[in-house]
Amino acid sequence: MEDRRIQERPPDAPPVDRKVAVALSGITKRFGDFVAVDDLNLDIYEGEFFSLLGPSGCGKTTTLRMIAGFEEPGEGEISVAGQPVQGVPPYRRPVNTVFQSYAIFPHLNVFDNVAFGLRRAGVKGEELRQRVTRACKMVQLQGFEKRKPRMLSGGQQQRVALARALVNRPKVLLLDEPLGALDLKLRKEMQLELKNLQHEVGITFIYVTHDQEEALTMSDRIAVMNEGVVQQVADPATLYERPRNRFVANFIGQTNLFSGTVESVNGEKVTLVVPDGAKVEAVAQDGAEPEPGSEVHVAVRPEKVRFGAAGDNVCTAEVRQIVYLGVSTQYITWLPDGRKLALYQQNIQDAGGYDVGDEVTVSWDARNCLVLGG
Amino acid sequence: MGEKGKGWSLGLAALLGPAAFWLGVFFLLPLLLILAYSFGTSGIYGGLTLGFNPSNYLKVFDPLYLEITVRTLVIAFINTLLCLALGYPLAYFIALRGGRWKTALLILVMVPFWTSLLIRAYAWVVILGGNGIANRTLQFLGITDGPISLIFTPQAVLMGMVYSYLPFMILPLYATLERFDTSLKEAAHDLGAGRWHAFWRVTFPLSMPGVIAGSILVFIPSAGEFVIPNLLGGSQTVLLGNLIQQQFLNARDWAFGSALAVMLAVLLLGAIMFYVRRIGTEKLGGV
Amino acid sequence: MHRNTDAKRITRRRFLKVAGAGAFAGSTLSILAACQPDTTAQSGNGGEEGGNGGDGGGNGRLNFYNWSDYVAESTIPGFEEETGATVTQDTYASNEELLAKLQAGGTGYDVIVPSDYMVAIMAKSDVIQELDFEKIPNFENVGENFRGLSYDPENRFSVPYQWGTTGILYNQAELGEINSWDLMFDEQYSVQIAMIDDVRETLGVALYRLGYSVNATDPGQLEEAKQMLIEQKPLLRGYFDSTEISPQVANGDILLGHVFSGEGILTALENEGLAYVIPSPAATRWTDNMCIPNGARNPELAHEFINYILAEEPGAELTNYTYYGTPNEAALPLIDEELQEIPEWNPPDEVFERLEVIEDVGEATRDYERIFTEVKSS
Repeated sequence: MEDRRIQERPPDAPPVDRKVAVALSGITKRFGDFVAVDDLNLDIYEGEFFSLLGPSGCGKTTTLRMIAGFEEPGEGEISVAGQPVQGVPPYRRPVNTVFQSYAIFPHLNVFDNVAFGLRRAGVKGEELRQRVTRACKMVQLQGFEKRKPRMLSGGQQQRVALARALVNRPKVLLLDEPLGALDLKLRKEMQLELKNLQHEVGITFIYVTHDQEEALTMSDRIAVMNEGVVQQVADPATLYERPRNRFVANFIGQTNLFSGTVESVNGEKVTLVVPDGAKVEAVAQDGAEPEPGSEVHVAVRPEKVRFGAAGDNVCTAEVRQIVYLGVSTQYITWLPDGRKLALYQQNIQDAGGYDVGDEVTVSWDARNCLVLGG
Repeated sequence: MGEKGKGWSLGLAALLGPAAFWLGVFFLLPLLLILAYSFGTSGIYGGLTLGFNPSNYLKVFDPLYLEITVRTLVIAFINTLLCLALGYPLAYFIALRGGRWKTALLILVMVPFWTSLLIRAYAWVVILGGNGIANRTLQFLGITDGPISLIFTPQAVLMGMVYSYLPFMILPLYATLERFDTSLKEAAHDLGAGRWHAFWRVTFPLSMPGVIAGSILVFIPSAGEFVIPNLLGGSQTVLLGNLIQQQFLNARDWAFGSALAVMLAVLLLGAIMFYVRRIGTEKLGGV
Repeated sequence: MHRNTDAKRITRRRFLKVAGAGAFAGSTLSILAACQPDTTAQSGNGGEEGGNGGDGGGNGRLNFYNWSDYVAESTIPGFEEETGATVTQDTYASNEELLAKLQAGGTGYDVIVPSDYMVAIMAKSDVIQELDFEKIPNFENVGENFRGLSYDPENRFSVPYQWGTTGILYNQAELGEINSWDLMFDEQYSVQIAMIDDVRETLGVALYRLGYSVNATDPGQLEEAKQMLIEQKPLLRGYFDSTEISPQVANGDILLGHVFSGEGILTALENEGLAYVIPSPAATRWTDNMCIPNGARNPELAHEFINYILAEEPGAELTNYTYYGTPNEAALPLIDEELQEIPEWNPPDEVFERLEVIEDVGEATRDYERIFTEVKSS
């Protein structure tokens, strides 16, 4: 299966008349010999909450910085709201950024921080005061205007950064892992707040994160990146249920991966033979037709695997590990040939009743077993 | 709660002792002596009788001496401004664009320090002399027809002062700028500030501690400068330092010299307090 | 209640502050009293450390405090060889520096070399001691012209060392021959003139030019001199030490330099086209003298040294090096011929007549200082 580059318009794309807020085509960025971003193509639509997701070093922050104007791409073009931004410095682009470290000006109080961009744009007097106050209110910082940054908590500073960016009514808001420094509870709260804010304000958010749960929670669409290349662009459900390749399958949620040789193809259905001789029924994606005799990888999510024999694919395994997760229990089982198979079971009743060492029968449906690209 | 732990211990006293002794004997005591002398009366042939004679301070306000005082403060002020104007870009460049060369460049800034002031001053006499490089370059470029007088002028004095005090401005500025968070600059750009505004509204206000430190380090000693006006000014520029030196060495009027010294100290103290107060309470950078 | 304790604390703190300050002030005053610059006698002969090394010769040490570059290379080694003593020489750059040093308690100098007017001042301030002429037999070598000078009419405190004039070293090739101070005030030579940074000498030039005495005290006369110098200032390259002026004339930076005779004559001899002149209508003649300060550690050896200098050979060697005038008649025959031929070195009587000696002007010293400050800062 050859590596397929992401097309500009994936088959499940939204209707054509949606406007493009940010378009990146053929973007490549090198730092010396290191290729940070490799021939990237993306269309980000107006009003969507779009995330760039990937491990550190995958090029997501570099991409964001190129949109903001802090880096220039080596090759390719970027346009914002239909206007190309080649060589346009950050202070002339209709985008604003929320930095990972917030970058609040320590020598200015909250009001002056938020007002900074407006003042540069020539807004003054009553209009200035009103817009700043409204922005502070929007991020729940009303009354904090006179405070100095060092008197604010991390969460509060982050809100100042947000207000400071949004008050300028940018066409696109760029957020570079803004929630990284917050504790878990606060982070979860802020995720929801950000999502609501984005709906309220209605502008395009481009959000960079390495936390897939965060991306899945907040985004309309996600671009998964690895080593400078976009692996898949889709909405959260599609990414989760229909990962296109091994990287995405592994990166998003948990998955069980097998590889085997194709025995036969029947429309969508693919039968493959795994090393120990067993046959596995899987389905291909996007109308792909793998060649019989070729090597393929398939993935099945742990929650799609059940105890019992009711499924297209049945096998026996030995329970080796049980992890109790409150909401569910995770079982790590070992197949006869040594491969591991994970399965989740919701704890509808109390504990599943299996123990370590038990021989069990597990099964899953072919339609949940996907053939992966690359 | 309690004053626990704030007491004196033998160890603390032992640590502070030498420093306190040194400061007390070599700094505080001479200051007090000068203060006492300033109220004394100088003998015609030198010597001093202690007492309470305020007339020395009245003499300080004599128009001739007042003029010298004003001139000194003005030159010290201009010197500080020039050092700031020249030193800031240099410190900025080294701290924020220096990269691998930072240390080397800093050493270059400090190297002149290691040579004697006298040698450096005489070097300037040669450079600015009638046949020196400066004049020859000017003639070579066709700017002048013959040698012009560059040395032993008030301008030469100012230039000499800027030259010797520049490192005192650069080093504190560098220390402050080095710690500057460049993401703040990016944030400023992101919010619509061009290069000048980002500098003026963000970088510069945040470098204020360095500016203040450098200014103080330059202003105070240059107000007391007397070597450079002699070496580079041909003794034709009389500053407070020269005046005080003359009172002690030539005029044998120690009482008056001390009064001048006390006045200088008080003026400088006042200037610094005013400066720091003003910068401290003002909304730095603001709008 | 809270406020009460605060108030109490403040009062106590303040009390301690005041008490502490008072105690400190008290102790300081007593220290100050002890540190008062001592203008009275340091105590008689033998000075601070009693008669340490009081007998001359043998392993004696002599501390010689002199102007810089004012002894021949052979002078000190010669003395050391003759007496077996060791001589250390320190230098100063002005009479005022010398006086200030001694008054601040600079101790241990055995022989000093103050100029004429300074001898009078030092005698009046009781800083130098009377000389024992039994120990200076060579005094008879001193010419009549140099005995009993106005500043020490009975030679109680001093013995002449070298003498000289203060005149102009100038570029004769460019300017032709000159014989007055006028060209030093001439616009035409702007910035090519330099004066000595000495209040009496420089003010003296203006006074001479106006026909007044170098020791004038009349405010009107001083005012005129001041005006003349203020007008001259823009024409000057600067006020320098005499030793810095000669090289400037020699390398062409200036055309006219106010210098002492020794360097003037020396530089003129070494450079083609330069000349030294004693200008009219008047000029300064000065005499440097050897004296023994009150704090001298080794007055015996000091007397021996003075005697040695007055002998004919050392006297001649000295002058042959410094090119200043010698008061030592016996040494005259041994002076370099080259030097003897220069009229400026040994001026004829009519020139001698128009030379004045700088004297202490008492109270007017402060006026002179003030005028010079005013001129320099104009």
